[in-house]
Amino acid sequence: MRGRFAALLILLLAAAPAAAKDIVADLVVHRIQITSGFAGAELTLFGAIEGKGEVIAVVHGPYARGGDLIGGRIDVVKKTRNLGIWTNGPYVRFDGVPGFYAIAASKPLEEVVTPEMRARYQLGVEAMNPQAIEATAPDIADYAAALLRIREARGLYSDRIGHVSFVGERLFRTSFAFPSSVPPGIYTVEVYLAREGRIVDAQSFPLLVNRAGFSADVYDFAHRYSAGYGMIAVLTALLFGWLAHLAFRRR
Amino acid sequence: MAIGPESEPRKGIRGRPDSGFRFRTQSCDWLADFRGTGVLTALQAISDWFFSLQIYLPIAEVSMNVVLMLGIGILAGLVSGMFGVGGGFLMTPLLIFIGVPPAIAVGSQSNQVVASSVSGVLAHWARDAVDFKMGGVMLAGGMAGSSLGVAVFTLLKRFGQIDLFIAIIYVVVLGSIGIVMAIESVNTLRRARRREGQVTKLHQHNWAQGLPFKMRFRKSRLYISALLPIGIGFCVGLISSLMGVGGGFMLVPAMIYLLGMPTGVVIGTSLFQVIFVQAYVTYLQAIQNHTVDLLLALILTLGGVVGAQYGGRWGARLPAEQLRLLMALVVLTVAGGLLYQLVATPRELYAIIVRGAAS
Repeated sequence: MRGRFAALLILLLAAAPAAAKDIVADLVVHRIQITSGFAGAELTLFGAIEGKGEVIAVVHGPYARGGDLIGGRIDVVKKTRNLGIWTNGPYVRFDGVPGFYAIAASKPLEEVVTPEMRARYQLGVEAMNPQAIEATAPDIADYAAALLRIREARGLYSDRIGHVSFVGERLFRTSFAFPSSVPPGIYTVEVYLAREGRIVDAQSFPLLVNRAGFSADVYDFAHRYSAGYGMIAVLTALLFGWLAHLAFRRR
Repeated sequence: MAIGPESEPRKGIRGRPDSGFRFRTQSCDWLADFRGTGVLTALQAISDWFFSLQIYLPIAEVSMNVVLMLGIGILAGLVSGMFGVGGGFLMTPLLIFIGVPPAIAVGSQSNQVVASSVSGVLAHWARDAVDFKMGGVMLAGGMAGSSLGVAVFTLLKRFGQIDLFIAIIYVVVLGSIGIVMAIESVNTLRRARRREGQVTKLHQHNWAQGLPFKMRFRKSRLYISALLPIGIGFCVGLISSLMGVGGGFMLVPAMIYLLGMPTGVVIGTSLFQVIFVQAYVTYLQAIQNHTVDLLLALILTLGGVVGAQYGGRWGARLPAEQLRLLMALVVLTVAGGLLYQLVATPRELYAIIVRGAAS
């Protein structure tokens, strides 16, 4: 991931002295709120390009480690059979793995950028290349493949390339689907402009996914004032037990 | 994502172009579907409605279907009403099957058990069928046992083995209880058929009579060592806090066969004891493991209370021995399902574990 950021930075520095930006984009909403009724969300991105070219859009993150955030540092374990029971066996620990990854392009990626560009900007799930920092098994590649496979099955990584559609010559839009299990944290949205297989301009901005409303308050309260939360849980149960008794008392 | 109906312009109910006046609410759109294009669309609409009733559980951090969770509560309530046990042993495996993390299922269940035990004990109290002294003595053991249980839970959670452990303990406990119950009820049924009037002893005299710290329990008409109920409370507290169940299915036989309590006061007394032990377990789980999901517990309580009412009525119609055999089959089925999940080759051999910040 560090390589990608460095490449992006160089590109931005190189592009800065040049004329106005060739690609501009924005999100309809800059924040996705996980509320009690949260069942996934659709994120719409729109923008415009100057001159000709193809557009690639990427959403990835969060990378925060530990805590409750999915992403950052994770273990992939392989199940092994012990005494007839499947238990967690050897593991490989990966660092810098996003909790969510989605990509969209105006044409199939092979037609838009060269393989070198794809590797440098880590475009697509196959190009993600998670880094192992600790392992108790030799076949790390299998574990990395399993990581991508599991996250794809859960809708957190998408192996399909979404579609960026043009409205006329210059305006474009696309949308990303977030599943209900999307981890909260800070995400990065990147848009790239490609011409003749090379990426010539880019823009990047943050997207915040946070818990909000009742469920966020409950989560915060349960973790910050756990004694009070425990007490409330017990009292609520006592109250509901009593109410149930009143409601169904034999007449 | 239910964006289908909104995204395309709609025609009026009778096929005319929409003249502009239209009910804006979604429920009326749903009705229009029903009248317009027949049963298939209606079924589609019903299933859409069903799957859209998702609620985000704040502690479990997953979105779950409300109807599904209520259904599990009602099912467990039915079983508990029919057989006079908590039904928690059925609830936890079902919650795990639908995707609630096992640790959260267990923690929240303890909370639900408090509610159902309160409503149960109030009914028994009204009939003066609670031995408070016996319950209090058992409670002392139960507190100690459940403290140890939650400590073990915390340790296993830290090592990432809690899910496996929960599955194993369920298979072992449910499997052995189910087998014992099945054998016993089959034997009784066979005996009843042969109509052999067997004389059983009222009290069995064994090593337990020699234990010190004897106490008198008036309501149970017993004069026994306090160590016995304390020991039972301890063991059941330990196991039930790990399983997230009240433990009535272990307590009730232990009180009848080991203590020799009269059956009339057994259930009330065990419920009385369970309230305090599980309230304590809920509190410990909340502060040590953050595994109590209040919303999940409330939904389960709601379903459980309703289910228990009907379960009680249905249970009264079935003869006791056949009821016990049925219960044994339910227990064995659940244990078998969990065992299958442990032993069968998983479709995905790898799993992702997100470790805490400390490791």
